[in-house]
Amino acid sequence: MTKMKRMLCAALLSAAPAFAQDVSLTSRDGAIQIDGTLMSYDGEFYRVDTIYGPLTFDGEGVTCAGPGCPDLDAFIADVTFSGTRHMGDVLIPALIQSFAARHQLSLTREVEDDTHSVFVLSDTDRVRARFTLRSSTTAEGYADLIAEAADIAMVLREPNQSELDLAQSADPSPLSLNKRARVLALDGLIAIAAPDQPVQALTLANLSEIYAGEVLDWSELGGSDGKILALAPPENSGISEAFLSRVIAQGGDRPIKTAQTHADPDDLADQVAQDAFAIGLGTLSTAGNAVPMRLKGACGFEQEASVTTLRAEDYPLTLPLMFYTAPRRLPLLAREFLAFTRSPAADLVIRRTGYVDQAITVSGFDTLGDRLAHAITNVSAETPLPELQRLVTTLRDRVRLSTTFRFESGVRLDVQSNENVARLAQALETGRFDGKSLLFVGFSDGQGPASANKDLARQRAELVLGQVREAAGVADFRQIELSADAFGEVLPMACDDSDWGRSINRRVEVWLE
Amino acid sequence: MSGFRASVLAALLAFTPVSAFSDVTALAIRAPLSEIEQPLPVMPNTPVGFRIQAHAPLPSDAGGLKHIIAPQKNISAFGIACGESLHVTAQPEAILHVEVSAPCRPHSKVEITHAGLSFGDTLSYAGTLTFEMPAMEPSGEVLVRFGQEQSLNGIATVGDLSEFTRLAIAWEAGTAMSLRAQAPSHLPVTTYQIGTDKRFQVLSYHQDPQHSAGVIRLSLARPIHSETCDRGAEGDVLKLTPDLPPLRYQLKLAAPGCARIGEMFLLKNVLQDLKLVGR
Repeated sequence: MTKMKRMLCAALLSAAPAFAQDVSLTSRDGAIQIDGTLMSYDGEFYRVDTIYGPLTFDGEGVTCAGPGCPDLDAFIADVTFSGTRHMGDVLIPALIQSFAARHQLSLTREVEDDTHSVFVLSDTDRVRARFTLRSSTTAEGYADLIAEAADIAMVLREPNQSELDLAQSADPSPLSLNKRARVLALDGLIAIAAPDQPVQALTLANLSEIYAGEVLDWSELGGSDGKILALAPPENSGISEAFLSRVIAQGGDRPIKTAQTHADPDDLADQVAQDAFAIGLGTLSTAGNAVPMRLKGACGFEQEASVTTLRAEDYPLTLPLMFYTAPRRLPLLAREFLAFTRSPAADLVIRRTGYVDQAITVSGFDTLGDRLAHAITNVSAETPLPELQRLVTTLRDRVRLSTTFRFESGVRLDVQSNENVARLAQALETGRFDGKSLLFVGFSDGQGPASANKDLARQRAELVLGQVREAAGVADFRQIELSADAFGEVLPMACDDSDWGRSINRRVEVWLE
Repeated sequence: MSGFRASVLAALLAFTPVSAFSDVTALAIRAPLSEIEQPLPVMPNTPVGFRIQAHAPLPSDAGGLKHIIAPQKNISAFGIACGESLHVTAQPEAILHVEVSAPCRPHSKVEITHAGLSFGDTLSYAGTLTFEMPAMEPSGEVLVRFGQEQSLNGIATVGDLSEFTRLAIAWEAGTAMSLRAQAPSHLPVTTYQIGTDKRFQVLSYHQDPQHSAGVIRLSLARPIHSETCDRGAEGDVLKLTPDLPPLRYQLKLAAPGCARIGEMFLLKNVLQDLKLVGR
């Protein structure tokens, strides 16, 4: 009985579709037998609908008898990806292709149409896996995942409340939806213009006004006379949704008013690239031959979407591309694929396809240039010179890791930072920073008293340090020195006059010596 | 009669065999055919510069001529030795120059394989085939197969292939789609199409010294009409990218369906656009 209990992994959805075939599973010692209807077999585990409800059994611990038993030697891992085409068009096919090549599996892509493909992975003997890819929208990805029509959802945002409620009602198990997220790659929401458009930087307020139809001419933005041709993706696309919630809505609840919409982001970028009076909404990965516009704040800071700023989340409109996985054990090849997506080989594929990977890179103290100059210029009673001098003394001989942590509210890390905890912990476990010192440095925005901000910044730095230490369970901490410090609001990265500027400034950086 | 007549015709024409490849070394030459029978070329319907007014009478017993004719049995209808040869030479821009000669296999189909990709073509009436193709592997190995049993291979090392981004598709017979590239003017892209029934399409971009940045859009297209609407497409894809291992996979495209006759079967997302990052 003990063994059977150990094999029992989870009670899953009783409403799941069944194969309506009978199986009888018997423990290896013959002591226990359970009958039921086989729901699925993932190459290792049986999922059986029994009189006790749906149960999962380790295939190595039981023998299967009955007409419903799968052919153990002919198991094919069937995995379905569903969700945003922003991931399904290019990134996921490229990762599957690279994964197959690295596992020495031959690959056939069966294309139904531009949005539906099946990737068949085979070795020299037989077919090993079928990865079905359905590209549509983030909302459809969540719907398919909740309805068990997909194993992995490809999404551009975290689930909204109605999706969380649906997921909870479909699956009340402890594995709630937001525990199964991981960031695969990064992109940046941007405005794009033609290379010969003289205006190459805008404030978020400018953008909001353009797409609300309140600014109509480039001359109103400091450019030459010319009517602005505003292009955007369709309203139901993930990109438009993200712009509405993160940019347009900041200036009030206004719809996007555009001259034209383009379902294909490449077509949109191509038109913008050829029209000096056009502006478009898109992402860094789909900018094509158009030019990404910088974001500027009233205090003089400008933020550019680039590999460096997106990796460190220093750009305010960073767009994490995420996987949400089904609340059940995926077949071995699917799990290996998920593990592959965190490897350096996958990072290279991600970069080559135009997205930004989350590899940990370093930049020197001298790259602080503008930020430091800005801080010195704005020395005040709240940000005194001695504190700035202490910052220089502390960090001058260190390099900054691209891994940076930001917060949704209070001390809750955002989804990209949660991934960063896992990545940094993995690096510690593999000994990458053995013999080194990592300093977690907290910074804050400039709202409120400086001393309180500094305390909060230190609290956040210590919190992140604790989470990383906890996640790096097998790291040898005798070899690594971890410590925390805080400098509050002395070194802002963006203007404090907007929500997005303040959220950029609230951060924990990691400095290596 | 064909073997005998061919030999006589060759003698009448007094055709002097001249090697078109005298400046290169034959990499592989096959032994002559053993059969006395040689296929006659199908002559094009074009005017010729001579006319045979009358045939010389042949002796009723041709056996007496056998000792004369026998030494010519491995000569083509144009009087060229039947030995087959394949010459492969590397050209600038990572191009392979390929010359196939099989004088006794006029107008026959051959299958050419390079880097694991195969396509088909047809020899000329003189049994020759000359073409240039972008190399898809540094060894520059080319295999030419005549039917099932005979094949030749040649090699020409390609030195500068690492400077190119290339995408090649070898289509199954009769299923080819058109490989399209849309690139800004500062990103010169060259496309190649070789082969007849089984087509071989290659898109090539040479990384310039300035490392220009930009995106080259790739798509597949084919007009949908009554003959193609229920036909899918199959091909082998090989992509070369500097600093990355070659990427190889098979592509199977479902038929668009005859309800779409008159439209364009256009797939814009199946092939990954080439994104070139500037220096």
